[in-house]
Amino acid sequence: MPYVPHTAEDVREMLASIGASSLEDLFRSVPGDVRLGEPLRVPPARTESEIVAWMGGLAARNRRVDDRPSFLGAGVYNRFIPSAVDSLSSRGEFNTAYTPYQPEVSQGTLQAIFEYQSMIARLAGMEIANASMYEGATALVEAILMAYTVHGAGSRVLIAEGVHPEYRRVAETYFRHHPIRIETIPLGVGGVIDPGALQERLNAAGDGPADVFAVVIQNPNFFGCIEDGPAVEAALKGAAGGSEDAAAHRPLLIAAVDPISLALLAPPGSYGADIAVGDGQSLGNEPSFGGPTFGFFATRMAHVRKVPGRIVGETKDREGRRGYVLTFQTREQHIRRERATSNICTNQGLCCLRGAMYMTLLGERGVRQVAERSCRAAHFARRRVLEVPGIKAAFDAPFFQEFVVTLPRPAAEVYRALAQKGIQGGLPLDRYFPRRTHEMLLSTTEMTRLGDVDALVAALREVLGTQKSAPLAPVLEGGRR
Amino acid sequence: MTRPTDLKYTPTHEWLRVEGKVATVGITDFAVEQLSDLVFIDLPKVGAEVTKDSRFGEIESTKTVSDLIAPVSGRIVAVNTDLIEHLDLVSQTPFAKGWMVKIEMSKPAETGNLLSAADYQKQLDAEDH
Repeated sequence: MPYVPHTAEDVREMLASIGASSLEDLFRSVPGDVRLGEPLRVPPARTESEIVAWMGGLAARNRRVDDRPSFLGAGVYNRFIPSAVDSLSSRGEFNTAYTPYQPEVSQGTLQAIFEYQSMIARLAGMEIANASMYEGATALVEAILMAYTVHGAGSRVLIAEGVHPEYRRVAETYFRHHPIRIETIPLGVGGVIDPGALQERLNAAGDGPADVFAVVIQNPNFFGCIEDGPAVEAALKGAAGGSEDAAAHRPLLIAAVDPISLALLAPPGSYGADIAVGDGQSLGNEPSFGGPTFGFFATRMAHVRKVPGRIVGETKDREGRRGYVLTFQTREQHIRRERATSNICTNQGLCCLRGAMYMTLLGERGVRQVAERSCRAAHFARRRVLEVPGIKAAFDAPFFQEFVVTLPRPAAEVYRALAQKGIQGGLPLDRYFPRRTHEMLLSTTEMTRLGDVDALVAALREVLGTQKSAPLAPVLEGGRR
Repeated sequence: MTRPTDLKYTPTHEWLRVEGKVATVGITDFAVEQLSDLVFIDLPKVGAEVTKDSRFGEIESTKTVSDLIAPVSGRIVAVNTDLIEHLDLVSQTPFAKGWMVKIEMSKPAETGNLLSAADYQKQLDAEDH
């Protein structure tokens, strides 16, 4: 076997020491009728240089977000990652470290996670953050589950239409066999939640306002628009006329936020969010076809015993020296079993470490610069794109780094035409919203250059100025010429 | 330890002191010893209804989290809020200052099923911890 490092002599020695005469002996207990009885259909082994060439050929068929002007976002972004993040995070001490159950041999890992938690809590304006979740969608679901436990009375969660559709789908999967019921707060005309409509939903049907245990918003929302956090907070407080009973059963506010936007926009803690979650890909992690990434999770100290996942705490050892440990472990399933509030018992160690390194290297000022540039690029791009005849803005709400335009032709068609001109267009919205056939979500980051916007606008003029393009091909096909 | 013989006990290591219609409830020395370092207690609010054999709160140690089981049904009329700041009262004096809740019993006959101090000790011996 070419991939097994043992020599025939090694095998003989091992067999002899356990008293087996052949490898066949080891499988004698497997019944004959479940045995394959033939060699595995695997191609013959190749040399390393042949394999490298073959894999290289496969990889060359990939498109990247940075190999041509790209305006694709919707949750995964092309961001600058300092090379120090790569070199530091690939150090063996970090890269191969195991879960820090034994604090005495894991102080490096634990301190890094503690610092990560502190930075996330600060960014989000919240009191405490955990050691990270898998990614944004499951972080949101865990937040909903936590709110369900904390609230203790309701069974309905209101999720704004502006929350990423994939996050919503993940929630639907989780709650398929669960008492929790999802209801939608429709997107207002301007592209954000209408607080009046929200309040109506809160007071409507079900078992009364106490039956809603959480409200979920995304900020900026999936359409790029900035939600009015304080207005949402006020709507929650004002539900059911602000009676004492209503106050006691006020729904928890969960905000799914973009981590870079937190450097510029009012953070969730400032508008009364009980739990803040989001995806950390923008913090030092490559897009990598969607992952791996990490989810961040922050909340109030009062709820710490209901928080899912790991939490690192600061403490003192026997000699009074500062040290770090996994704390509040009695919440977790390896101690509480079925009574744990969540069954996650891990974190995205390497990815959140990269996030911590990114935040540390850029600092508060650097992250803010990234946010400002992303925002300015979006406003500049939108102004230029709207100058193209036939293109209209879909919403008029303030926006951060993404915006939706309505095109005179189906967005999926325009996307393909742009690809043929070497431009990675924005996301055609009918991928998630079948009726939004002519809408496209354009995204910019601090990596977007003036030349990219020029190229996009020129291509749009050409595409929209000519006849309909070639026969239909699958949506989001790569830019093959 | 010689346990108070004027108390009733449960198989889940709670004790009960009955005074008229009101029962005071806490956990035994054995429970305290098994839990080891106590760190947190979650008690119900005054006015909450409890049912015999169901959970009325939880106590957390560095090792684990344990449910507190109601020995009788009724309504919570008092909660020992001192325990929030001074959880060591439970470990030091589990049968006195470590009391947890007082329940106004709705079915006083339920106390008939509980264990005497001697029977409780027999159970512990049988489990042979």
